[in-house]
Parts: sequence; structure tokens; C-alpha cells
Amino acid sequence: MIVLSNLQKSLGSFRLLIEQLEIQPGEYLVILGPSGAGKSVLLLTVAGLIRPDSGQLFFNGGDVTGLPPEKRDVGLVFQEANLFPHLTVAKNIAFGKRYRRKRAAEIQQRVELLIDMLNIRPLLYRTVEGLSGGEKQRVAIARALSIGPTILLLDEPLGLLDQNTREELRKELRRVHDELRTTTLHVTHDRSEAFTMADRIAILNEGRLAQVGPREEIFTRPASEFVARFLGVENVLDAFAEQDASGRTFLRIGESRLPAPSQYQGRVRFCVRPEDVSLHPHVPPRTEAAASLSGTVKSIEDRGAVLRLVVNCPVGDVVVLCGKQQFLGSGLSCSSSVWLRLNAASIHVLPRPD
Amino acid sequence: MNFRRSDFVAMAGLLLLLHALLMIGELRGLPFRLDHFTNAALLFTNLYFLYSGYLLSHRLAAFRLALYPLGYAVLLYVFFLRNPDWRPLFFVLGVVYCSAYRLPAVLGLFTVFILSHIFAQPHPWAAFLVLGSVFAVAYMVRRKAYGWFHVTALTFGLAIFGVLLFPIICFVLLDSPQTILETFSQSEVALAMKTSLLSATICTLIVLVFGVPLAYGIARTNFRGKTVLETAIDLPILIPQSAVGVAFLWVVGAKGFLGGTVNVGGTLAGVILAQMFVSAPFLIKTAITSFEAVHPHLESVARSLGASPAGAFWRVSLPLAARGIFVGCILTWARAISEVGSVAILAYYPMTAPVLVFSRSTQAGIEQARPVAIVLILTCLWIFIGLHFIRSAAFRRFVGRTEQI
Repeated sequence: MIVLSNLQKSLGSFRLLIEQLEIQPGEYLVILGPSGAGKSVLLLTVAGLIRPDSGQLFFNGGDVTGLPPEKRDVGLVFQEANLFPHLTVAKNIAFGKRYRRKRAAEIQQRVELLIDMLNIRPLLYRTVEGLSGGEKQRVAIARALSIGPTILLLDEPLGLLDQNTREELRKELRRVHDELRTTTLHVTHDRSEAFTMADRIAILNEGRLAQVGPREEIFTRPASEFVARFLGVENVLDAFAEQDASGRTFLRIGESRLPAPSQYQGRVRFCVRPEDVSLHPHVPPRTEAAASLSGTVKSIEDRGAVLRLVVNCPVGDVVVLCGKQQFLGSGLSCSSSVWLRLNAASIHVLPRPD
Repeated sequence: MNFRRSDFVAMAGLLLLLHALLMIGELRGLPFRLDHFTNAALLFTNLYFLYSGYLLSHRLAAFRLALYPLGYAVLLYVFFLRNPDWRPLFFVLGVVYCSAYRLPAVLGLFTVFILSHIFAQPHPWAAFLVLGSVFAVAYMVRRKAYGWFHVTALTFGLAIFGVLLFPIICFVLLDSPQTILETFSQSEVALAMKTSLLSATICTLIVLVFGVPLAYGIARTNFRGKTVLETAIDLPILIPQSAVGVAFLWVVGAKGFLGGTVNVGGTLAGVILAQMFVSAPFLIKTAITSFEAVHPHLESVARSLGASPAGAFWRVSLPLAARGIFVGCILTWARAISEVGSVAILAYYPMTAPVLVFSRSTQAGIEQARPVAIVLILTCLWIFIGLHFIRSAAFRRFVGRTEQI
């Protein structure tokens, strides 16, 4: 298990502070955050390339805070593959073997395994210059894993690849992880990458962890407005929470009142995903489990298969994703009056900022 | 523009008639007379000119076709009418001109050759070498469809630079190999050359030993005053050589204030010291650039794989910077071997070849100094070329920082 405890690092005006972060053995943890959030600093600190100002770092129970990178057994892959250009692919992958003479046979076996697993065999005796971006990154991953690292550190490893190669490599990375179960720390700003790869996701913002949890939890129950907005939940709206005599909580959203779990009373903010809001040309039938809001269509943006509408409601602007056929079939256009329905099940009341 | 065959036949007939009259000697009023042999040669050259013009008329635009007789007229005037001694040359040039007119590259070189023969007497070959290279470069660039601005910039700069090189090329071309060999066999010259080569090589090795660590340190660190340090490294390029010599003499010369303990005045060590001072910046600067071009991430990866900082340097950074460092060595060596001012002041003896050239030119005159200078230039040139050849053969160019992915 990898444990980061009270790690602090100041770089100019930026400050990284990780109070507690545990990475389970065999886990694939993705650190997700906007650029400048300190993701790379965190990763380089784990690698030993940046020395923290204070705090401790444990690998499998041992304190490695003061150890240089070469004594830590970490695998490192950057955005650019950073293959050694003066060595062939084979020598790149075998680079770590030289420093582990006692385990040479074991590493050789591992290298062979990785070569087959990542389909590198046809490239082995090529020079690095002729490789494509995807090939380079596969070699870099094999090189990092060749030493059997305690933890594999990936710093935006797919960031410079084109769309198709990126998706292909995502699958491959995940497959390699499922077979080898190497503890992995993957840093990215791409949320779809985070959701396809991760077991758990840690959201980092301005040097601090905003939320850590399994990906479903992060997706459905963001812990703050920042997380919600960063994950593409565009609708963060105001509501009024109240409790009846039996202890059930209700949310008053505009005219409607619907049962929804909330820890708080009074003014709260809640979020709902654009794809969970449905659009109706007429007043929808009243139900217990959904709130209806009336509004006018403010803008329409064509996104290919779907339309992204902004609907102006009394509670604020609500973003709705709506099928093109459905929208055009119902004869609606810009500035039409419409009704929105919000399902109680898709509403998540945000915790109040402290 | 198309000439018919009949036009050509008619013109050829006219020409034949003219030459026939010349041959018979009927036109006595001409300002020059021709013997029969010259007249016949001129007839054939003219016929060939006419024939080529007929062929060209089918494929060239009117403007270039109009320039064709103009060039011929220039040749005729310069080599046939104005310098009667050069008439045989004219026949050759005329035929070459007619043949070359279809190929712009050959024609350009030909024109350059003619121009240097007309304007650059008495050193036409040296001028041709310079101007011809300028033309060749400009022509190759133009063929690759760069804009006129790039071509003009290159050609303009190259032309002026060629003027700078011109004396050296004349100088080297105008001495016979015998004189050079004789000069080399003089013991004084041989000894000076040996001193020069030895001192420059030792100097380069010493600079290599301390320059590479210094450059690596500068490339990999960032500290307050780093720019000051980098400027200080440039300083020797700026300081006049004679001032360097005097300064060193004042410190480590026979009467210097450290002279009692360290005295390098008049020794090989003194020569090397002066050479090191002026030449070290070249290696250090190039090495800094080379190390900076090696992405620090490469070292990071090497470290993560188990290499110590020194291991990452030896296995990754140094091999990748080796090419640049080697280039730095060449520059340093070249600068060291060409140093005169400071060496002459600090250690006049043992005499290096440049100092020998200097002393002969002031004491025995230019004619005594010239062969030594040529020997020096040629030796350095060949070693320089050899080293560059080794560089491209032995050191691959690596894509460092700008790694494409």
C-alpha cells in the first residue's frame, strides 16, 4: 500500500498539501484535475524527483520520503515517451536490468512477457526515431514496468496521441493493469480518460484533494460545486430544503416540491446532469417523483447527434441535452416556451462549503 | 518562336559566303586579318552556334532566346577580338556555351567562369571558386522554390562572405606543391608545426576535462547569478589577446607576482595556458547548449529505472550531448591553434606556427612568411575537415528536446 501523509510542497506561490491519500495494492488510481492543480508535482513527489517540504511517504509500510528515485522502484511514463534516442527499443526496455543484477533473470522474463503483452516484438531492433507516437508510448510503458515497480506513475501518458491511438492505448493500459495488477497512479486532466481507466479517482484542485472515491461515487455524488462543474455537471441550481413531520426531506424547486434526500435545511444548491433533464412542449403530468419547471429556450447549439439547449427558468439557466429528432419533431425553436422535468433520483444536493 | 529549316539553311549559306570571302582575302578593309586555319575554326564555331540556336528556337521563350546571341557576342568580343592571344580559348568556350545554353545550371557556372576571367585577372580561378560556389548555392536554393527574399538574403550574404574568403583562396592556390614541401622540411617550420599541434591538442583535452562538468552543471541548475557566470564564460572572447598575454605574464611570468612559485613564461605550459584561456569558451558554450537539449525527463526516467545521478549522466546525457561536445572540441582546437597575440607575449618560445608566421612577416618579410602561412592553413584545414568527417561518421544526431510524438 502507498500512503501519502501530510505531504507539503511549496513552489513559488503554488502550494501542494495532501493530508492523507492511500493507494491500495493493485489499485488504479487516477488523479484528475485542471491544469495547474499540482498533479505533476504530486506525481514527481511520489517518484522522488521532487523532495517534499514536510510530510511522509510510505511504500508498503516503509518510509521512502528521503530516498532518491533510484532506490524507490517506481515506473515512470511522461507525456512525451522520453525514450532514450541513442538506444534501440530492446535496449530501452532492458535499461533497468543493468541496475538489478541480482534479479536479472526475473526481469528478463518480465521483459519478454511485456514485449508480448504490448505487441512490441516487431519493433525490438528498431531505433526510437522511426516509431509512431503510440508505439513510443507502448515502449515507454514496457520500460517502466520492466523493473516490476512498486508503483507505476503515469503523467498524462496519452495526452499527445491522436484520438484513435489514445483509445486503443487506454484499453491496452487497462488490460496490462488487469493482468499484472501493478499499483498505478495516473495523472490526467481528461475526465473521460479518468472514468474509463480508474478504479478510484482523486480530484485535485489548487494543490488540495477536492474528493477521493470510486468513480461511480464521484460521478453521481460530487462533493462540491467545483467537482460537479469540473466533471461536466453544468446545472448547479438553487433550491430550498425542508423537512416534514415524519422526517422526510423535500426540495422546493421553483413551484414544485419533491422528495429528495438532503442533509441540510434551508437554502441549498443541488446539481443535475444535462442528460437527466427532460424537455416537454406542454405541461407534463404531475408526479411525486419529478419536478416541473417552465421556461423559454434561450439558445440552441448543434452537437451532432444531440442539441444542447439553454433554457431560462425562474431558478436560473438550465442546460438540457435533447435528441435532435425529438426537438425538431415537436415544432420547438429558439424562444419557445417549454417545460422541464427533473427526476428526484437524478438530483444530488451538494454539501455546503465549510 | 519557330524558325523554319529554310531560314536556318539560308543563314548558314550567308555565313558560308562571308567566310569564303574572308578566306579568299577579298575583304581587305577589315580591321583584323585571319589566317586560314582560324577562319575555318571560326566558321565551324559559328555554324555550331547557328545550329544550336535553331534547336533552341523550338523550346525557349523569346526572351531567353534573344539573350543567346548576346552571350555569344560577349564571348566573341572579349576572347576573340579584344585579346587575339585567346582565340583558341574562344573556340572552346563558344562550343561549350552553345551546348550549355539549354542547361541553366551549367550556363550559370559558365557565365561565372567567363566573368571571373574578364574581371578577376590575374586570379580568375580563385574568383571562379568563390563566385561559382555562391552561384551553386543560390541556384540550388532557388530550385527548391523558396521565396525570392530567402534566396536574395542568402546570395547577398554569401557574396560578401566570399569576398572575405577570396584572399585566402588565392593565397593557397597560388603556391606550387614543391615550395610547400620544401617549407615543411625546414626544421624550424616542422618544429613550430609540431609545437602548435601538440599544444592545441593538450589544450583541448584539458578544457574538455573541466569544461564538460562545468557545462553540465550550468545546464542542469538554476541559481541567482547564473547569467553573470555565463557572461563570464564569454569574457575571453571579448578581451583583446595582447591584453590577455600581458595579464598572464604579470601573474605567472618570470617577473610576475606568482613568478617565484609558478613561472610558465617561455614554456610549453605557457603556450597551452594562453591557448586555453582564449579557446575554452567555445567548448563550454557548445556543451551547455548540447546538455540543455537533452530533456531532463530522460534523466528522470533513467533515475526511476535505477540509475544514480552519475549513472544517468554517463548513460544518457553524455552520449546524447557527445556530438555537440565534439563540435565544441573542434572549435576549441581550431581557436587554440590559431592563437597568436597572447601566446607571443606569454611564451614566444617554444615557437608555435602562427607565432613563426608573425615573426617572419615582421622580421624577414612577407615572402618568407608566406610559405609557412600556407603550410599552416593547409594543415589546419585538412585536420578540420577530417574532424568534421569523423563527427558525421561517428556521432549520430539525436532529436532531443523537440521529440516528436
